[in-house]
Amino acid sequence: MAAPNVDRVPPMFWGLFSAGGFVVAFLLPVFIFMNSLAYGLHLVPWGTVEYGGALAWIHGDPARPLLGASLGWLGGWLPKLFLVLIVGGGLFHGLHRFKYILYDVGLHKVKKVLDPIMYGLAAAGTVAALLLAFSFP
Amino acid sequence: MATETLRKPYVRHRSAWWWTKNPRYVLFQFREMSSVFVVLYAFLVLWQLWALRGGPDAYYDFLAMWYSRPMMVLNAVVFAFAILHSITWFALTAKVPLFRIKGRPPPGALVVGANLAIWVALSLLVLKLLYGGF
Repeated sequence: MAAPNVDRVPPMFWGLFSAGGFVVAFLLPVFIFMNSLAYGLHLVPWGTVEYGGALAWIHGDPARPLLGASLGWLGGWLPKLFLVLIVGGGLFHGLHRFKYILYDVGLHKVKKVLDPIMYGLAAAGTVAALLLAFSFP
Repeated sequence: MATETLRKPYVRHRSAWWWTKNPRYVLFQFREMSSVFVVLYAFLVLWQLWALRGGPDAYYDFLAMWYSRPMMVLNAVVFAFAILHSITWFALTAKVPLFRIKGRPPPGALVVGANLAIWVALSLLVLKLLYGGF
């Protein structure tokens, strides 16, 4: 039987911090490069970043020919899941770490207020990413 | 209060710039500060999605801002911090052995090397699957 007074909440946030840390480490650089820098560096044409190109991207059009007929349905899911992972992982990782920066500059005195704000913000942002990403057909 | 003492409590003084004294502390502080940029980028992406949902006009307004000179500079800074996060995260992973080889934790270089290989492979996979090529 489990001990009755074990605190299970902080380990959960450390777990999300760690999982988010891996998501950010593995996936964020390539995404920032393509989403923010590639057009400015003249590596991709305007057509891929303007409204139509962005919509095609989130519909998963670039992936469809690679996935073929049997896996084509995955094409529409991949960009959306990717966005939710990036935003959710980034927020649960980053806000947890940022919380300790704030503790470090003296806000450890207001833990009880700060912690719910940070994790609430991370949860709200993740839900927003989920709703926004999957609102596209 | 029951815990009241006669002596004034000792409060250790620490300057807000303590981390500038040693290059190791500077790297530590930059590593921790990468989180601010990761969070910032997550919110920028939410803004981008919101603009994309708003239709062509809203998205063209967003793009004019996104590819303005100050924003390009900010995005380059965010990118640099993302790279710093990746590298320091892999180094940190090596300090927390998740498995053992013949009863010993795996050598740090092996863990960092494996992480770097996964990083490259996943980045190429994203380029291939989400962006249709290299």
